[in-house]
Amino acid sequence: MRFVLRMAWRDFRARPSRFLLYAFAIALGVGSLTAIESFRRALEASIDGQGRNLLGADLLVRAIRPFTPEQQQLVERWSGPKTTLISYRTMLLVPETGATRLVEVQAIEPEYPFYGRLSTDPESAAETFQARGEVLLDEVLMKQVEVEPGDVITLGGRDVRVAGALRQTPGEIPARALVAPRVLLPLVLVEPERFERPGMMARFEWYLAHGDDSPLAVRGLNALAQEAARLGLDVETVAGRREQLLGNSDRISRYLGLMGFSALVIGCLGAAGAVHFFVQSKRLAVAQLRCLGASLFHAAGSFFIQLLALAIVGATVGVALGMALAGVLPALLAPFVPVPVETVLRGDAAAASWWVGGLFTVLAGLLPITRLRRISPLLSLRLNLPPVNRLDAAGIAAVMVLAGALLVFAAGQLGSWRLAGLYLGGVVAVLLLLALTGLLLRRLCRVAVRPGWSYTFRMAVGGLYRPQNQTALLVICIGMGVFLLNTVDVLEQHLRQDVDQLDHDRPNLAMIDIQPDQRAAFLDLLRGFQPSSVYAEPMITMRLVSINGIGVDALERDPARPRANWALKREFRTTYRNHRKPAIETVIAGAWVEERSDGSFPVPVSLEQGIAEALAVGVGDHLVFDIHGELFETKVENLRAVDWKSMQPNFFVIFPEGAIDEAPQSILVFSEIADLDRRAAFQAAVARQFPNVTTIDISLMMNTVSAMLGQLSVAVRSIAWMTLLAGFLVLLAILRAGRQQRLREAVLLRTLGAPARLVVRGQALEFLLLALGALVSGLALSWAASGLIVHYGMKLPFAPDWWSPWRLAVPLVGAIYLMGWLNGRAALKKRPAEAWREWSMASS
Amino acid sequence: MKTVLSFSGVSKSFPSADGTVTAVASIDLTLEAGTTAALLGPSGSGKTTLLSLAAGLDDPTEGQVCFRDASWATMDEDARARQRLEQVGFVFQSFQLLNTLNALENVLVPLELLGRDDATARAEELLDRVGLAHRLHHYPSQLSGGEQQRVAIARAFANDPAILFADEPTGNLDHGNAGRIVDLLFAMNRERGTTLLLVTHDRDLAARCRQTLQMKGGRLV
Repeated sequence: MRFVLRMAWRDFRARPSRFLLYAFAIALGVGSLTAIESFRRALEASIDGQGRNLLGADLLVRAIRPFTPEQQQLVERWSGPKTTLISYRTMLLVPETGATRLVEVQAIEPEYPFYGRLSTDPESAAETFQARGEVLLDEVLMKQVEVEPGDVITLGGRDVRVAGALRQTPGEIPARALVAPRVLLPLVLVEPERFERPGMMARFEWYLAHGDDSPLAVRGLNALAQEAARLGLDVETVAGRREQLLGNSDRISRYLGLMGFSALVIGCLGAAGAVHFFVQSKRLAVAQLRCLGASLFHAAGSFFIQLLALAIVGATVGVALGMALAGVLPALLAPFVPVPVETVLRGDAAAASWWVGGLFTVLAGLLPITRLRRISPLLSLRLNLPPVNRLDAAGIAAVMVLAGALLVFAAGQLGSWRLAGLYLGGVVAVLLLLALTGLLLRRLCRVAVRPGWSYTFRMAVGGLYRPQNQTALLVICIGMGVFLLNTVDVLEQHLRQDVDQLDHDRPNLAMIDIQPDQRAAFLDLLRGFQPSSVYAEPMITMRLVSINGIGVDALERDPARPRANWALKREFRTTYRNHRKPAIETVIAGAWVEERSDGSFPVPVSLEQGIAEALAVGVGDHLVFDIHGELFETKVENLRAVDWKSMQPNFFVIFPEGAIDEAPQSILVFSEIADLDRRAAFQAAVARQFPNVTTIDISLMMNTVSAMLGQLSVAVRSIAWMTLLAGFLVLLAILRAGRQQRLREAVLLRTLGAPARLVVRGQALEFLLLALGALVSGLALSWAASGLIVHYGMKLPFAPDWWSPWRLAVPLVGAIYLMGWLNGRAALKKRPAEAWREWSMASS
Repeated sequence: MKTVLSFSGVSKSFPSADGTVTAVASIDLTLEAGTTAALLGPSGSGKTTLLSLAAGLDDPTEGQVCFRDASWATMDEDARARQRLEQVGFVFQSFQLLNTLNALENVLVPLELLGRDDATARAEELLDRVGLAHRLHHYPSQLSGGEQQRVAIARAFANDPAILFADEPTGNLDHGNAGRIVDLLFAMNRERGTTLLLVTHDRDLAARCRQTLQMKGGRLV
């Protein structure tokens, strides 16, 4: 063992810079992983640390309409602490400036929350706003509408004073405030009759606590929860909220985790490439040692020791890098997580990443190390003995161990073996395709060379199929980085296009809760602001009771025909009309109902195809709806495909005229007012003249979503760039490994009298061709993969910006070209004799 | 005298695009302990193949090669390596020094593999013997061709081998250096009683050996 350690040290001492370069490539992969793992663990710990503060109570029961007497009785029977919360959407108006905003009002009692606290600015506002009859506004909302504590705002037609800014309530995700900013209002200020208006959307919640935490109280609340669920109420416990929050946060961290894993795959590739070149350069040394009588252990052991050292150094530097990056992630991801994540320098994450990074480096390096076994001592006598490249049993075992470990790791990241298999399969497919592209590029260079080409160009093309040039490996390393970055870019482009599409030449205002007697006056007001389009339709809310005679509760438990719970239990917002809108509605099964209903049952209705799929129903099925206590039997007469992006009033269920016209209803209006100032003035006028009407500015929402996407993409891109940087370092390491061969050729050319510019241009051109090959194959694969995701996953037409990769391509190709140029220049700096000596040293 | 190396009916063939190529055919040969033998022949006559078979670096297609009464064929790769470590020395035409090691460390390799406690002292003594005491810490790239070959000779004698194989030991050296290297080889052979098998084109060098073996077309003639 002492011999092995000594030889390892002596070998390292001869070329420490090469070792450190390989280690840094590995460190980048480990760094990404560490940052993400740290963030994820810190987030989980923060969520766990919140305990009952996550819910603010021990049990929450909820309904989207006022509690029935039976439900109300059940809650009132609870003798422990309880408080109620009602939330609804309404318009906020700042009388001084005329600014308006759709807000979510949460009307609460002083007891809320039982656990945790309302975080406000000033802090005292949380204590005083109830007694003074004031309101708290989300911090971001206060900035948007420019109000200060003490200002008066109008909320649903009522003037109230602002007590302060609301920073956080228990268990809420801050980003929620961007989409639906909240206003906290004392419950006593809300008139109960406002919820009796048809079409009024609200959520009614009761928060209950154990009180003394006695076993009796805990059992009592559990029993109440079961009973509440039986009575059709939504029930949420602290554990349930925790799972939900972890699930939401997990989606973000798992996505980033996969990016980190991709970086690790690149790191592995780098490690495998590095060790491969290392072993290649040591073939003769191993043969010499074998010839001198060294056993396999003695001949190969020193390289394995160096591999271990590479893994340890790479993982350690990577953890340090990751910790630095982990300091930035919380700020980038703060809006997307439910609890503040302050400290992310976590020892457990660092230790886990260190092990994972180190282990994968060693596993990736095992395959090249197994090839040492096959180096014959005969090579000492016959220098042209070809290497044996075929995989033997040990090589196959090394590949299997690495693949198995990657699968286990990916399954841990994704929480699913199937997804892990798919992901790993995808990575392997991309790697294989890139390798194939690299091999094809080599082959193409060999057959395409023409004697008529300039000598420089022939030299560059010839360089790509030079033995041991590793064109395929270089294409894999650079191509993989390009693939990842461009795929992220293309997917983000499509997400943005989808969002932007909603914002152009389509209604940008949605108005709800308009009462039938306000319809004419409201539309008059709207027309005064010169809208380019107006769509108005009645809206009636209802619930599904049964399908083909089977109640929704029973259907929920039906294992034979799985149906989506959200569809069974949702509140359906429906309309009635006999005309179809051909521009946005297409009948795909059955026939459109053109006659008015004669009042008989079942009523023929039209179902949107998506909801029909979720309910597992088709033409001819019977559905019973409950419309404000009255049951309506219906029969599915047709299925409709709807263009939801049209931003016109669209409905899951459409009744014919004459069936439900008399049911309590509200009017839904969609309109487009392109001019920003006119749109703002209209919203202010609605808030003043129709305080019960809620106006949603779709453009504003789209901008908010776009901004959120942008912030998330910064986090994703930083990981992707680290991946590319890792690939770039691998390239640098590989080029250094091949430098001696190029040096030899350059010196030979110079000795034969070639001008300096030919040597420099030839090498730079070779690198340029290599970069272009890797870039084109990475981009082609990326477009193919993202095309599949966009078409099948996002269900959008694939229309990438074909020119956007120039931002990536120019610096990448430029940097690689520069490396080639510098390499050529380096050869010119040495005297031929000096270079020959250096080459003869490196070649053995 | 005791036999160190024997070939009995040894042939070696390689598959090639044009069929099978026979590199050496029907070789019968015996080398006694302490002798010096020169293997002469034109390029492609099978000299290097015969040397690789003699050192257990390759296996014959037919026949048997015995080193000190044991057939190489009965040993696995590690056993052969052990045998070479303890009994065999090598000097190559292109020196084959490990370039990441300095002169002293190159000579130390077989001594450290043998686990000798006096490895450093012994290596220094050998380098002194070949006239390189002042170059102990120089790397191969810092040594001339003649100096590199002298380091190789010091390394080859480090384990006191029973037999030393030298493949064109002067092939890469000028006339003056070649003479000095040959003198050194024969002097150390005399001092230590090592059997010497030299592959060479040089008839003058061959003339200094007790035995001359001429190869042509893969056969001893």
